[in-house]
Formats: sequence, C-alpha cells, structure tokens
Amino acid sequence: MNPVKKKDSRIEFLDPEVVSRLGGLELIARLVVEGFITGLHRSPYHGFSVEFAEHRPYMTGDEVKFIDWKVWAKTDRFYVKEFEEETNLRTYIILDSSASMNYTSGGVTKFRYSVLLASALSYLMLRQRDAVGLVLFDEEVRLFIEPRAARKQLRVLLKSMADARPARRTRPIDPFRELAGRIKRRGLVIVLSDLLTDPQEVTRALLYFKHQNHEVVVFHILDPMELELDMQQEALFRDMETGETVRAVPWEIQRDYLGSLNEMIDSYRRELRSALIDYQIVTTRVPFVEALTHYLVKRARLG
Amino acid sequence: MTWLSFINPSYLWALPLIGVPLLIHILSRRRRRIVEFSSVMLLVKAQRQNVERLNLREVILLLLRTFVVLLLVLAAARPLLRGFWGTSLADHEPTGVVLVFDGTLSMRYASDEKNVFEHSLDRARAVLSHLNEGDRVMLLLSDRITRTIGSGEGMLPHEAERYLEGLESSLYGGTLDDCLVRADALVSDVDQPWKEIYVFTDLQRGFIGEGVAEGVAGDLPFVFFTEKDSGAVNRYLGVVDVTRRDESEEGKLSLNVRAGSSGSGGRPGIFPRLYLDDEMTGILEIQTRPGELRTVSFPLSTLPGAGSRVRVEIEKDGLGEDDVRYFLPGEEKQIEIQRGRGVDTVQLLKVALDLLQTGGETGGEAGGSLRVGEGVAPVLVTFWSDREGVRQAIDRGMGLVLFPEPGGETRMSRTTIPIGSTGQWSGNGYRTILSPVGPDLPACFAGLAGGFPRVKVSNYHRLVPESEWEKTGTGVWRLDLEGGDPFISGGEVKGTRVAVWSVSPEHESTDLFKSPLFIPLLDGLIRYVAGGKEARDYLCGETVTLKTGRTSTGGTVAFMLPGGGEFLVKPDPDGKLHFDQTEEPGFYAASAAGRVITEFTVNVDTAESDMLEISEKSLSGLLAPSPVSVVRRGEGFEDRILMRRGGRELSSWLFLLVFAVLLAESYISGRIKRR
Repeated sequence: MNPVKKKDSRIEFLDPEVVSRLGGLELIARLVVEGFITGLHRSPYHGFSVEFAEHRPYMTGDEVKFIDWKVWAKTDRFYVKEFEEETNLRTYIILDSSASMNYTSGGVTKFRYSVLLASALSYLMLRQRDAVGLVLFDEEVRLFIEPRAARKQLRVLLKSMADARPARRTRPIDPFRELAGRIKRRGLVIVLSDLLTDPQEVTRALLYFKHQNHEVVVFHILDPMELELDMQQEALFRDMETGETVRAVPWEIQRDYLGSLNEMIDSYRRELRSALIDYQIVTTRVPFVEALTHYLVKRARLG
Repeated sequence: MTWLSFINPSYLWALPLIGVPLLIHILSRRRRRIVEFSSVMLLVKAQRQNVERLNLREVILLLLRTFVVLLLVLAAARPLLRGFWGTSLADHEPTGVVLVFDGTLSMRYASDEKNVFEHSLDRARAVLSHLNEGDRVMLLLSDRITRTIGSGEGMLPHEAERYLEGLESSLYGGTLDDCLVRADALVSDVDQPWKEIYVFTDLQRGFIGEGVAEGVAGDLPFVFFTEKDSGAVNRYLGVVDVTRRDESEEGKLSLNVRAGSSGSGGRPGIFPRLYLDDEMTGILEIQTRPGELRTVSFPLSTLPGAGSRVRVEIEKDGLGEDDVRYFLPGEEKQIEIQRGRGVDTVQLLKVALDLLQTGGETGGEAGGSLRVGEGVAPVLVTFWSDREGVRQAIDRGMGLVLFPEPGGETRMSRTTIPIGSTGQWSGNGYRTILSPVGPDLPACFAGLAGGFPRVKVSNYHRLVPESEWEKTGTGVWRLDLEGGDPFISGGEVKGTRVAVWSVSPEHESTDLFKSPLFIPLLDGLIRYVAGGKEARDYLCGETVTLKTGRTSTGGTVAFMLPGGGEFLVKPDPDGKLHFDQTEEPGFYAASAAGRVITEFTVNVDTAESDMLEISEKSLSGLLAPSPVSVVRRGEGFEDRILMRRGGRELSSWLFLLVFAVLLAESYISGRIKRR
C-alpha cells in the first residue's frame, strides 16, 4: 500500500532508511532537498517569493520609483508595477512526539522518519525564504518555536527535533486548540503524525486550524507493518502508549485489522477532504522526495 | 470395571502425562513473545471479533493433544474390551492359557459329593471348552513341587482336556509360589498375544508366599477360582480318628490318633471340632464325610498321665462356676484358667499337653490368668532345666522364652525385650527368643522383662490364699495385672529356664478352628500319643529312613500303615531302610519278626490346615502389578469367561484413532499457524 508512486529512479537513492544513516539532520535535509531539486530541473528562485503581480494606472500618491518606465515609453501612460507580498509564507511544522511514533517494524521509526521529513521541509522552505516554525506535541504542546525565515532558524529547528524523545499518548485535540489560539497569522500548517487515535477527534482538532484560515497539510505517517500486519508469529502485543496488551495471532486477525485500518483511513480522507485539508499517507519506506513533492504541490497552490 | 481391563495395566501409571499438553499450553502462553506495537486500538477491535474463535480452536487443540497422549497411554496399556459386539465365546484373540491347580491336601475338602479339587477340574473343563484351535494351554499341578502336565510349550485345548482326567490332589502341603512364577514364565513365552493364568485353589492362607512377589514378572492377568462356599472355611485337618486306647493305664490319657486318610475306603480328610462341655470333658467331633459325624470325648481329668505330677481339678467354688484349676500334686503349683471370659479352650488343652510333656524330669510349670480389659488371657510359666526343654517349648508355639545363664545361682541376665516385636537376639551367650503374643500382654511382659532376674509374683490371684503357694525347687512366681500397671516382684531364679506362653484372650472357647494354635495342639497330641518316649514325626510324602540291625527276617521290616496293611521294606547295603509310602497321614509302626522296632507318625503339613483364607487384596499386593480377580463358587464363572473371551484388544484401534486425531490436530493447528 504505497500511496505515492515513484517518479524517478534517482529518488531511490533517497531511501529513508539509507538516508537516515547518513548523519546529522542538516546534512540529510540538504541532501534530500538538493537531490530533490536537481531532480526537478528548475530553480526555486524562479517563482515563489519576489513575484510580479500586475500593472495598474498610476494614481496620485504612488511612489514614483514604482512607475514602469518601459511601459510609459511604449504607451506614454504611467503604470506602476505591483508585486506579491514581500514576506514569505509562515509555515508551522507540527510533529507528533507521542510514544507510538517510536514504532518501527525495521528500519527507521515513524518519529525518525517524521523528523527527517520535517528537516527536509524546513531546509527547503528556508531556502525559499519562507518562515518555518516547529511544534512538538503529544497530549499537550511540548515545544513551540515561532516561524522565522532566518537561515539560523534551520539549526534551531533541527536541534530541537534531534533532542526530542517520543513519549506519552497522542491526544491532539487540546494541543491543537491551544496552537490554533497561538497562531494568529495565516499560514501553512503541516502535521506529521500517525494519527493513531480517534479519527473524529483528530478531524475536530485539525478544524481548529482551518477555522483560523490556515492551510493544513496532514502527513499520516505509518509504518508498513501497521498498514499490512504481516507478522509471522503469534505474540503478545503491547501498546507503546498505554501499555495495554493484546494476545493475537496476526494472520488470524489481519483481515479484520486491515478492515478497521482502512475504515479509519477512509474516514480521514473523507472528513479531511470535506474540510479542505490535504491528507497524505506516508509510510516510513516512502522516499522523502515523494512527501516533498506533495508539499510542493500544495505550496504551489498557495502561490 | 468388568467390561474393560488392561493387559499391561502398569502403563496406566503414565496417565498423568496427559497433563503435559496442558502444561506446555500454559507455559507457551506464559512465554509468549511480547511485541511492542504503536497502538493496539485496532488490534483490540479486530481481536474482539476473533477471540472466541481463537479460544475455541485453542481449546480444541489442547483437547486433541491431550487426547492423543491419553490414547497413546491407553494403547500402551493394551485395553481389553469385553462382551461387546455380541461376540461368541470362541471369538477371541489367540490366547495362551496356563491352568494352575493347587494340588495340596486341603483341596480334598468336600462339602458335597465332590471335593474342591474335583470341582476345580470341572471349572477347568469349562475354561477349556471356550478355547479354540488358535489357543494354547499349559497345565501346572503344584503341591510340594510344581509339575508340568503334558507339554510345557502349549497344547491344544482338547489335548489339555485329556490330561485333566488323570489329575488328583495330593496329600502334601506346599505353597504355590514356584508354580505361579513358572506359570508366569511359561505363558510369557508362548506366541499368542493374549495370555491368561487361571489358578484353581482354595485360597488357603499359606498357599502363596512372599516369594511370588519377586518371581512373577509382570502384568499378566491372574484369575483365582476357589470352589469353597463364600465365607466358609476349609476345615480340613490332618487328623482322622481319635479313640481311646483300651490298654491305657488308669489315670493316663491314652489316645490313639490317626491322621489323614483313613485308608478304609473313606474319602481323605476329616473336619474335627474340639471343645469342652460343662463337665470339662474334651469333645472331638470329626466329620469324615458330609453328614457323618463321629464324636470322641475325653475328660480332662484324665489328662495328667502316668508319671505326670499334674492334677487337674475343676473347682466350682470360689473361683467361679467355670473356673478350673490345675495343681501339680505335692508341689502345689497351680494353674488357673478362667473360662467364660474369653479364655481360649485351646489354651486349656495346651496347658494340659504342656503338663503332660513337661511334668516329668524336665521342669515344671506355673501359670495364671491375666485379666486384661474385658478379656482374660491365661499365662503359663514353664520352668525348664535344660535347653532342649526350651527348644521344645518354642517348637510347641510358646510365645516368650527367656532363659538365663546355665548354672547360675540366682543370676539371670537382665534382658530388655522389645515388647510386641519378634526376633532373636543374644545376651550373655544365650538367646532370648520372643514371639508375638496377644495384643494385651505386652504390658505384662514389659513388667516381666523389667523385673528380671528377680522376679516375684505377688497377688497371684486374690482368691487363692498366698499360703497355697510354696516355693518350688525352681522358683515362685506371681503375676498380677489387676488394678493398674503390671509389676512382677519377688522370687528367685536358680539356674533355670523360664518360658512364658500366652495366647490372646480374643479367642472364644468354641472358636477352635479359627485358632492358629489348634493344629499345633492336635499335632502335639499326635506326637505325644504316637511318640511316647521318642516321637519321630514326618510329613506326608517324606521318606523315612531307619537304621536297623540284623533281623531274623534278613533285614526286611514290615511297616504297618495307618489304615491297615503292611509294606515290606528291605534294607539297602548300608543296612538302612528307606520307607517312602508315607502319603497317608497317621500312626505308623515298623516291626520285624513281630517285634515293634519303632513307631512314628506321619502328618500333613500343618500349614495345610490353616483356617484363614488369603484375601483378594493380599493376592493383589503379592502379584502386583498383575491384575488379580477372584471368582468364587456361584459367581458367574462362565459369564466371566464369556466376558474375557468375548473381548477385543483395542490397541490397534487406538493407534488408528491417534493417527486420526493427529491429522485433525495438524489440520487445525495448520489453520492457526501461519500458512
């Protein structure tokens, strides 16, 4: 169940498990992003931030420096150039740091994957001079870093993420409500979470951001095992968040499990789409570039 | 369980193994691998829908695995299902059968037209009639020795039946130990998969001993057929006839005792009853055949014979109506026995006999009654002046014999005797012998042992004036157990031997046949009467060897048989006579030229007259782990054969079932296990 198809063979070099072993977050983020950009064959500077908008007739009070003299030379009329806002996009990366994010069936944990992805996104956005902030949450907000577009912001974010240790339970409703209150300016909210809690609660929590006119992108981070439950041995399963144990024969309950899981995912898809929230399932085996692509698509829509 | 038995029941000890699957199941649940999982929320949801099915499967698997172990254990134990499927008698697995016949004398007991042995033969024929050509039969006959009748490697049933015609019981005693061991070995060697041992016996105690426990290897089924009436005892005794001898001297008891077969055409075996009437006359009733009862009486007053210094008196005054006192004339040694309070009549006669035998030069006796609880046990204290006398006392069944150093003036070794124990041990170079005594007498003996060697008897009997007691040449004794702890005091022992003999007060006066002492008593009577000065006794079947000098008949000696008739025996080159025609119990005389050379008695083994029957429980214990069943007369003998013969061995079916269950287990566990 791979929701994102591979586009380019070169992207295979950015396999999350391989990348995860490379070293520091900054290095990884740079590698991911640069490789990704190389793959795109286009410069990020050709589009996003200093964007020409339109010409309009000169009106009294307009600064003379904005008059487009070339147009005047051709038409003998005064027009001024209008640009998009100079300030870049304010992006909040909201990272789930609950205990369940520490799960892995082999390779990278969901949290590690999320951190790497967030690092790459941060690097990418900061290069585009977007302001990037970071939020870590579980049952409550554990860390809140205001978005900044400064280059040094990257190190702040990466260090914070590197220091984070997943713990506690996932309960987004309270922290999201709190965040929605704290984030006044409209921006982009990127949520990285396994969303292993009540879907309705998650949806309700995400709507807090939507009500604040934020654009919301949800990366539903899952381990492949969670998507397939392809285990070969009967075992006693212990919940990483609650400690609750369940004796189960995986292949016996696989069908029912996948049914419930798909039901949950469908619920997310349906509910979030209706709320105009982007929802994307990402497994920890999905190369980061695919997730980045998804982000770029969304970013492009934001203009 | 009458419809199911096991050929190898010892394997059933492995039945607890059925707990192994359960144990493994529990352990595997405990040791189940723990896997950390991000959230069991969805697992719980899915599991909820599967848990019942899973649990059911696990329970089924557990049951199947337990069932497999159970089936394997059962199959190893080789279960035998009987009487099912309407099988006929002849429809059974090929079987090796050993028929064991108790050929000892007691099997000649007859309560109707046939004796026990003849009934046993009938039953054996019934067993054979249900065998078929695939079966093999071996016959064993046992008395003193074990004989294989016919082929020991197995005969066809009809061949074996022919051999039954010539079988009869012997006049010998013996145990079946060797015979059962041999039967076990014989039947183990035959090829037939099924093996059974049928024992035809009267179950008389003593017919089987501890030896069989080690000899019988295994687990083959033993079926004991006893043809006695349920609850009845075989009263066969080795004594046939007791008559007064005409030439007896006045005042001397003279009994003519013949034992065993009368030789007069009558059936061997008599069944006497011995008791005392109100006049203290001993009465011996002898049942020679059903309905024929001969009675012989002999007043006890005649018991003290010539040369004896014993006088027996019946005194109705003072000591109670039924009390009897025995006095040693002139020495006023007294024996007192109270009747009517549980005193064993056998004891009374025994005392008399002891007096007869020891009243001469060998020693003397004193005795008393021990009042213990509700019962009264007689005590006889016998003084012996030589060791031989002690030995004889022991041989006659005396319970406790203590004897000090010879020639000692007053010293006797202090000897501590574990009361209630049995054994022999040494003290100062002499043995002290203790045999079991009555259940209430240990206290008495404790006092006796503790008081040795200075033994005084105080208050011998409160109704007998102490003045009647005089010091004899060997000692004065008084025992008193009344009114508290027993004690013994006074008196001295000078170079004498002391024997104390007692029986349990449990015996009622008319329970003679239940008394293990009864036969020794009669045996003693036979010896006494027959032997006179020097009794020479033999068991039936033994060869009597006599050394004789030259006779006018050229050495030929005529042996007079108990039942009449003569048997001439010529001496061997060494001048010895070997007389082996001693099958008939009784009184024998050897004479040459009309002069009696010697007289001797031949009697049956007294063990053959044991009145008590060995219990089924004891049998099972001795033959364990072999299954033992006892079939009595009238207990559906043929039905049991039908059930046994109609049985099926289920092992092969069980193994098939195991296979099927394993298939099922494998199918279900395959569904549970990963693809």
